[in-house]
Amino acid sequence: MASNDSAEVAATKASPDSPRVIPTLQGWKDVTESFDIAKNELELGEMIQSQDFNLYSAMSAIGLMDPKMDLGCGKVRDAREVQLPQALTAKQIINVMDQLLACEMSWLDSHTLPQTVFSCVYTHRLSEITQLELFTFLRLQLATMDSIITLVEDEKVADEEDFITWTHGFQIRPLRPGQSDGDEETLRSILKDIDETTARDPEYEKAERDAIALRIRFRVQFHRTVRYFTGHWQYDQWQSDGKILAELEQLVNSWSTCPFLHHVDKSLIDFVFDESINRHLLTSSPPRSAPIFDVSSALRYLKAIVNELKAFVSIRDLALVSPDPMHMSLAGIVENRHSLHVAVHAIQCFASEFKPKALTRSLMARMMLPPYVSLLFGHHHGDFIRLAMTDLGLDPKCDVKQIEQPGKLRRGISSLFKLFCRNQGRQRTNVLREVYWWDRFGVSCREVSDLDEAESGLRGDPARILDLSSTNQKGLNPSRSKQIESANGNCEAKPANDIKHSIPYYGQKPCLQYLSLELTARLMVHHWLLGFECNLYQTYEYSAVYFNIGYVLMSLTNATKTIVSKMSPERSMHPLRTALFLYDEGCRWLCKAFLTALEAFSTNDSFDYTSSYGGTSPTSTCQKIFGSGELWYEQRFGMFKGLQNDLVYADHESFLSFLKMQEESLQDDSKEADISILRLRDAADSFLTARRKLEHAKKFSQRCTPNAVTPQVLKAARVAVENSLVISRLLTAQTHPSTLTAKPSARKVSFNFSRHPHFPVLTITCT
Amino acid sequence: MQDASQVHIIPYRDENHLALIQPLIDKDLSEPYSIFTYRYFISQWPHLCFLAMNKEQCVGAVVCKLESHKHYIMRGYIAMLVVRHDCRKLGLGSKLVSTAIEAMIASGCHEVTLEAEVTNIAALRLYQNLGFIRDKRLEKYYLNGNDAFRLKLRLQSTPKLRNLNYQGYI
Repeated sequence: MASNDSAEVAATKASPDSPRVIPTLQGWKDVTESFDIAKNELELGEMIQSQDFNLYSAMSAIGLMDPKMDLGCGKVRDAREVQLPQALTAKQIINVMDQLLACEMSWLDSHTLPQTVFSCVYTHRLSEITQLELFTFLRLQLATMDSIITLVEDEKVADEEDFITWTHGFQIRPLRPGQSDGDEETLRSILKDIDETTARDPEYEKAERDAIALRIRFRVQFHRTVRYFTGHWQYDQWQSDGKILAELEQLVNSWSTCPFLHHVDKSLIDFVFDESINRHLLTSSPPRSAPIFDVSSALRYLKAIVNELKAFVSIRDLALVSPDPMHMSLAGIVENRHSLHVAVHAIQCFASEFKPKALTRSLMARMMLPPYVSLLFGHHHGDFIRLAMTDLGLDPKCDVKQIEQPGKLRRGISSLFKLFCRNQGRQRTNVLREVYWWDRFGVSCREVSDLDEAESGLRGDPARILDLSSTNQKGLNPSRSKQIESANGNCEAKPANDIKHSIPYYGQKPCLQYLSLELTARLMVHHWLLGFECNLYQTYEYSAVYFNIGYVLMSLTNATKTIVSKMSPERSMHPLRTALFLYDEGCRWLCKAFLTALEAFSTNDSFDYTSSYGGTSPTSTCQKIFGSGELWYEQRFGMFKGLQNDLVYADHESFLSFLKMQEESLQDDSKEADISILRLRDAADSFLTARRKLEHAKKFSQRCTPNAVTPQVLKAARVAVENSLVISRLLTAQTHPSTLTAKPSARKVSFNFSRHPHFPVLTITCT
Repeated sequence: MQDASQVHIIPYRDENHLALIQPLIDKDLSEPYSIFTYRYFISQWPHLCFLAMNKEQCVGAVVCKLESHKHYIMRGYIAMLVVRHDCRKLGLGSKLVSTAIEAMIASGCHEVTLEAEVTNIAALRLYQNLGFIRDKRLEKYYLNGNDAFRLKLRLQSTPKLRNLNYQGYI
């Protein structure tokens, strides 16, 4: 109810504990007395609550005048009332430009615009900037930011924790609003004018003129780069990407060595950059801290983005190269580009190694889209399906039309590549969606096949999955041994070109089913391997993780063998694809080796390690109350229980029965009573087998350079070698105790992931 | 350091207990909570809130909730856990969490989750000793920019999934 006695209301003195008296405002009424009466009517603990008041509302509520929550309390400035300096000196202009870059990089690093770029008073009063250099710099910066925001919003691979696209109503516009083309003309005009403009001012020294010109050239080039990679270029200029990035890198390097970087007018910067001018815009939920980079850190961040882009663009050379690039024409190299798996592997390695920033990932996602994919894969038509066709041994020119559901396949592959454009945490969650998509796709392609499923090795029997060595086959059913040998074919001894059988090629549907099985398996392995990168596993879980990875890798390589067996004689597996196949085989043996070694440590009291849930960690008391090994296993691996395309989920019982069968198999053929020693020997053999596979892979991968497979092969091979030495030394100590100077009371097992993110080097230290 | 034998766990009773819990939690937790956050949990799930009392002093507390997740899983959530500094390393944290989980089990809980900062080694050890696993990594989850682990403890097997979309599972 409006009150004309607002002055009287305002003058009313509240009790010492109440908030300060509000200023005089017409229409306000003091309801304190009414509130007290209502409060006394409530029972102790009774609460009035709306059904709409949910957890989000609760967490978003702020306590007014609480400095932890209320950003509105404290110093606030109005950007419109700040008295801008009449004219800045050259050094001051340089300082402001540097700080604007620092704010921009902080924004790209997931902080809000009000706390970064728009903490600069000049961004609110662009039209009042009298100095053309500063105006040009800021205008270009805002135009680039507009392109970046549009890109990130369109591609939708960045999440809230990566990048905030909310503009808060700030004026962020393209260089030429309403015109999608024509930026290049404006940029050239700016470059032409910049030297004239700085030369005109008699107060600028040469070094200052050069520094200002450098910063504006950078802005031009950065804007050009973003526009180029977001698809605003002439198609036949696709080979210019290296040149654009090289020029950008040179400008960034020059900026990093600029002598004016460290001559900062701090009082000016503190005056011009102040986030309190945007207090009213910040989110109502408790504030997130926004540490702004210093200029040197900002330039390092920018260099990292440039490096990421350079590395990503070079993937087209890594992913798909002809067997003999030196003697092939460009057209021939382009024609021979193929292998979906090698491309997926290359992008996966890039994402894992660089953990690219949101801007890079959004640009990656844009470059994955069919209209732009030629930049990446070199096909003029950017047809994803051609990648899959070559992996299946089909002629990309002729057989595309025969594929059923091409649109669906294209969607699946596009989505698959885009998966790697998410941050790691989101990748690990989203990969489950892709796994199930490919699984359902495979089921839809399934036909009744005349092939013996046992020969193809696809029906999973975990008991034999990881024991496919000639020595272990002795303990198995003879007919099964023959099946295994048939499934293995001669892959282990000969290059993939010689794997071809005389079985005729039956058609595309079964192959598409196997392709989907391969991709399903590859994605499952990726999900588990990301667990290592995200540091999700405790050491007692490693055994089961390696068991599951090895088991699925077995299904993957078996599916590949089946596809190869169906290839027509004139088609063969690409050397890089062969290398990847052998790398997968090598990893499978690494998994078996780790599993066996860890079980050996677990069954020997002298090792400080347990592989079972409920050993020393977590506490056995809690295990009894709260859960069991089976529940833990289901939680960790059970998300794949619903797969239907012949990829059998290895449940906890299968895992335990495999371990038991392995133990029995090892004991059958040996007089050694100590199972841990038998396991260690088996682990040593497995590490050596892994090493052989990986060296074989290296021979194929080195035929096509550069590529992303060779570095992975070398890393894994090194781990295999080092671990086989560790196990050998351990075996010597175990079997010849006299070599020890003193019997260790306990031996601690630790895992060093510095050589390879997924396969550690084992370290045994005596305590 | 206090003597753990003198500390006993009691269930939340009324508003007077909230006055003991709030300052204890406000002092130690990095993220600011308004009174509404406390009320959201405690008014709806008072039976999942427990205090560790040393005579008349509250030296620890745990605040939880339990509700349906994706229509068929009963998921418990540990929202806040605090033990006063001079009463740490006495097993009180584990005791409080265990008590809360037992109460959740009695209410038909299938699984329990919480978030913990990746650098909070003590908390991670506490929960991992109780059987929690690191289910997800959440980047830049906290206001200070640090990542979090989502920890999860499965208490019962979930329904068969063969005919369900995976999203129903997750």
